[in-house]
Amino acid sequence: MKKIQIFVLLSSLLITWHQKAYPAMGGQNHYPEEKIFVHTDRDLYVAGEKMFFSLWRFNQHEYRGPQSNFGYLALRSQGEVVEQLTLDLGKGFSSGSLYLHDTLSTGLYEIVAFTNWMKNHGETSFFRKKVFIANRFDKDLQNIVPEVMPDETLEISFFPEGENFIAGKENRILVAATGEFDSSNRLVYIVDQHQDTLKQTRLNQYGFGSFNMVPEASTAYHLKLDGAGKQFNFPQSHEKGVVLSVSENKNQFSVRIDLAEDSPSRALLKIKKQDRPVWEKAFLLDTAQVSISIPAKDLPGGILLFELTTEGNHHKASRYWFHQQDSPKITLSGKTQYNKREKVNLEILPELKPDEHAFVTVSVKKPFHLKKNPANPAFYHRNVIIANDLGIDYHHSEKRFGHLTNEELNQYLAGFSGKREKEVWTKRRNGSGFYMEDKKLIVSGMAKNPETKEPLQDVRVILNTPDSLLNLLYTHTDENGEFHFPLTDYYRSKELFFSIDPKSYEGPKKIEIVDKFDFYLPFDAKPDRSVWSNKQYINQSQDIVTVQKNFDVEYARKPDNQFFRISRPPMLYYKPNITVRTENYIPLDNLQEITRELVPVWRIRSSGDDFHSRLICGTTGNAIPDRPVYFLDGIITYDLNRLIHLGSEEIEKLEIHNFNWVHGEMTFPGIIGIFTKSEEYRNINAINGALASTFHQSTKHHKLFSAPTYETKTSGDPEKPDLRQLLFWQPELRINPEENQKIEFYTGDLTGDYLVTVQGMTTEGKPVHFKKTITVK
Amino acid sequence: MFIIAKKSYLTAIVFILCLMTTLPAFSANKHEPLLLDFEARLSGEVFTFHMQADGSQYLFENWVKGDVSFISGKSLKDQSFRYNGYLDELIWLHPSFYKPVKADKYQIESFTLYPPGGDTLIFENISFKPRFESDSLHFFAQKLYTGDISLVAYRQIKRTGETLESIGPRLVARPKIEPEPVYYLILPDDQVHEVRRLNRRSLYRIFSDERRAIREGFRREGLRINNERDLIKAVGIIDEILEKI
Repeated sequence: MKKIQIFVLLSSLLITWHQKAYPAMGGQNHYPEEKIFVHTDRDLYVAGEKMFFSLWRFNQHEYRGPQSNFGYLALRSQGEVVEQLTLDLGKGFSSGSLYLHDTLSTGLYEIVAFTNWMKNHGETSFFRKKVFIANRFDKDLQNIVPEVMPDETLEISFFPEGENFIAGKENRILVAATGEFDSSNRLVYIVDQHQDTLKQTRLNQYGFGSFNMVPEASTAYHLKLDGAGKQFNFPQSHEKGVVLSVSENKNQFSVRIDLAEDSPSRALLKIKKQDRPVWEKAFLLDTAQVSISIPAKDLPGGILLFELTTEGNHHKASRYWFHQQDSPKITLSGKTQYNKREKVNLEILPELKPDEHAFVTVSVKKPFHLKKNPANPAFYHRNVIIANDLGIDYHHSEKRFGHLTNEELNQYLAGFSGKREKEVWTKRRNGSGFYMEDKKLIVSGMAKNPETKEPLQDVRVILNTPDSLLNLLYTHTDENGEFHFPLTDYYRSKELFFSIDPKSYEGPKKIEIVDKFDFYLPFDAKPDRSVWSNKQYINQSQDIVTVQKNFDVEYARKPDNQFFRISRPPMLYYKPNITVRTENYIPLDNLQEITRELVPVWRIRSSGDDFHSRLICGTTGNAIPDRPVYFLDGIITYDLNRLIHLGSEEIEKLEIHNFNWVHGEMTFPGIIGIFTKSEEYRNINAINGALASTFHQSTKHHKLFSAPTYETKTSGDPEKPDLRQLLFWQPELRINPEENQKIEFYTGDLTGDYLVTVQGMTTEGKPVHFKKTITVK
Repeated sequence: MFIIAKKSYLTAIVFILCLMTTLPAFSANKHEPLLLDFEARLSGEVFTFHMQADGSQYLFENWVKGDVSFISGKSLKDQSFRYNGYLDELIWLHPSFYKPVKADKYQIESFTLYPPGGDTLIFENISFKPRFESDSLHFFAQKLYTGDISLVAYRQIKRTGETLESIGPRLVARPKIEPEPVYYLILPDDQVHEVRRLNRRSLYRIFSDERRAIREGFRREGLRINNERDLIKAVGIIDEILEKI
């Protein structure tokens, strides 16, 4: 009996461990959320240009299970999807280019990137960034400036560290200015009730700033913001309470507790991550100040909550802190001033672990950045960690913390209440979720009764594509009427035709194919200050593109290797029993004549206008019971009446496979393949009625960035102006540890500052990022 | 009695607790599985060939478990097959209709049979022109030995004569069919030689340049080639010798 108990206990523990160790055996919840980051070469474009992009997929660091090897990228305007791409994410990385049509109207557009798997977490998990596209001919740019300038609203919020503002103690306060008023980099003044200035500090570019102060009890304080024209009241200080301060240097956390209370008490300092304690210390809170040091290596990375409680679990103070663990670094060396058409030599200096590599994108461009766009993969990656640790939606994390440096973030977190905000867009299709496209692209759809709207369960759905050989895939709908087809490369850029096998269902039917680019989350296309305050720059960009078009200049070239591996088709049979080519015979008017004269094993009979046929079995010589199945240009059909009119003029080839044929669970009482000269299958919708079709957009090769060189005085074209705003774009550069990577390119004729950005991911899924400005004079 | 009852009670509690820890692992989740791929589909003609013969058309009379690999790279596992040596066709027992299906030969790259209590048999769909023959051959060949040189067997079942049988007043002739395997050696340069007789001389004729070394090798092993097993052993010896040369 004891042995049985032990056996049952061990078995259950083994099974549960197995689920954690091998999440592939579990369910959706065992797979970590995927994330995508997209880097575009610029944020501002003129219609008629190319947009170059690179894209990374990343997961949690320790995850080694299946991952999406296909991703999607869309360019949206407010009303529609303008462009859509399917991308190969085999290495966790992809790059490409998108042509922005001349006819695109001026305005903000949105880049959306996602994988099929990410859809399980809702559209808020998708990567989004805005780009501004100006139509070359729209010089007035009326759309970008609002008719009525919005009120310059301004709100000031105060965030004392540890939540408490205690009189007589040194408090660190974060000030946040929000609203339409441009508070970036402005001075703020702390004044007392007599308007005497006690302190001043400067807000950062995002309107945040912090300072220390020791408030006096019963004194009112105010804050004035340079240019705002009004002052804001400070929160009231308290005479009793606890101030909690946290700081971090390279190896150590320092926690300072200032007590403004009479009676000592036992206290507990706890550090938590995702609500789970990771460190704690009990002590007696009996002096005015207590300092505690904690080795940084003892704490995990991410968002930590420092919480101070006293006896009886009374909450006294708390604050959040973002602990950044060691991250790889890269820097860039090289001079910063260049002449026109001069060669630029820069060197990437990596600080990576011995077995760690990085894949980075390098861009050199005019510095125009749209506010509120994801800044770089390091910030994006950090915001993902913050969202995860705080249990908030990613776009909330980005909205609140998006562009802050770690230091600014920790200032902001000083007053962050951490109240969990669970607003998640949960609107999803009712269904069984989305599959991970780890090996193949998946096309999905739904079959339903068009009259009752009820899903059709367990019906067989057939997939064909027009081809010169018979191909067929089939699957069954599930309890939600859904079906899914994983597609090999054979289906690249082919039309897909879906039908329902009448042997599995004969009633009213309709098939709807899932459009992967059907978004429900709205897109705010209202241009903000970062756009309308740069009208001059936009006009200049429009002129540049006009000049480039006039001179027929394009800084792109076709890739060297344009071939794709194509998989074998899913053949219904390898070789037909009989093949008849009509060109070898005298022309005949219709199928009935053709069969009578050329195909004796295929017998067509008519009852009035109703035609039916039988085949004579190639093995037994007997008539095969039941009617054969017809394929028109590879698309299945069952109605001979719609095909009977086809004659030698239309038909190129007939394949007669006169056998009782089996394909998986499907049976065919003979198969007739009719291949036409002029795509007669396009009329097939009228034949079957329940057919749905879609174009299967697969991955494709994109044009690459190509810039002129000026090696000698004769190279390049001195007659053509070189007004590039993008000097260099290398989407995929491998950085090895202890190996400096050189970057070389030529400047153009456009003077001014250019921003060199190097960003990407290491093989361990950690982001790297570096920026440097060079000047062309 | 009370102690026994208490023990059973405790066992039941432990069991239920353990079961509860595994429930999340096995609970039905509407959102799994998340990885999707199709099983390969086997095509073929419903097999209706009948022959009243003296002897069996099949390598194994009973259905045998096996796997099949297709030229597409996919494979289908754990199906029931019979290899028909008379027609050189793989016959598949359809798992839903329970009808025999003659598999579409040209879509098959190889198949494996797992006869109960016996060795695993691997067959490959091969096509070649034997040396000194005018016609090409295409059949399912069983791999007997694989090395730098390979030995394969064509498990053909041939008509070897007739058997006369009295059925009532009539005398009925039935074809007599028997296994008559043919062995082929495939050399590193893809030349294919038929092993016409099961003896050493046949092999000396094929490997005339290495005759002496091979003869020595056979002598060392005391090998005489009387049956298929001996042939396999002999080919193994030749392979080792050729590797050293």
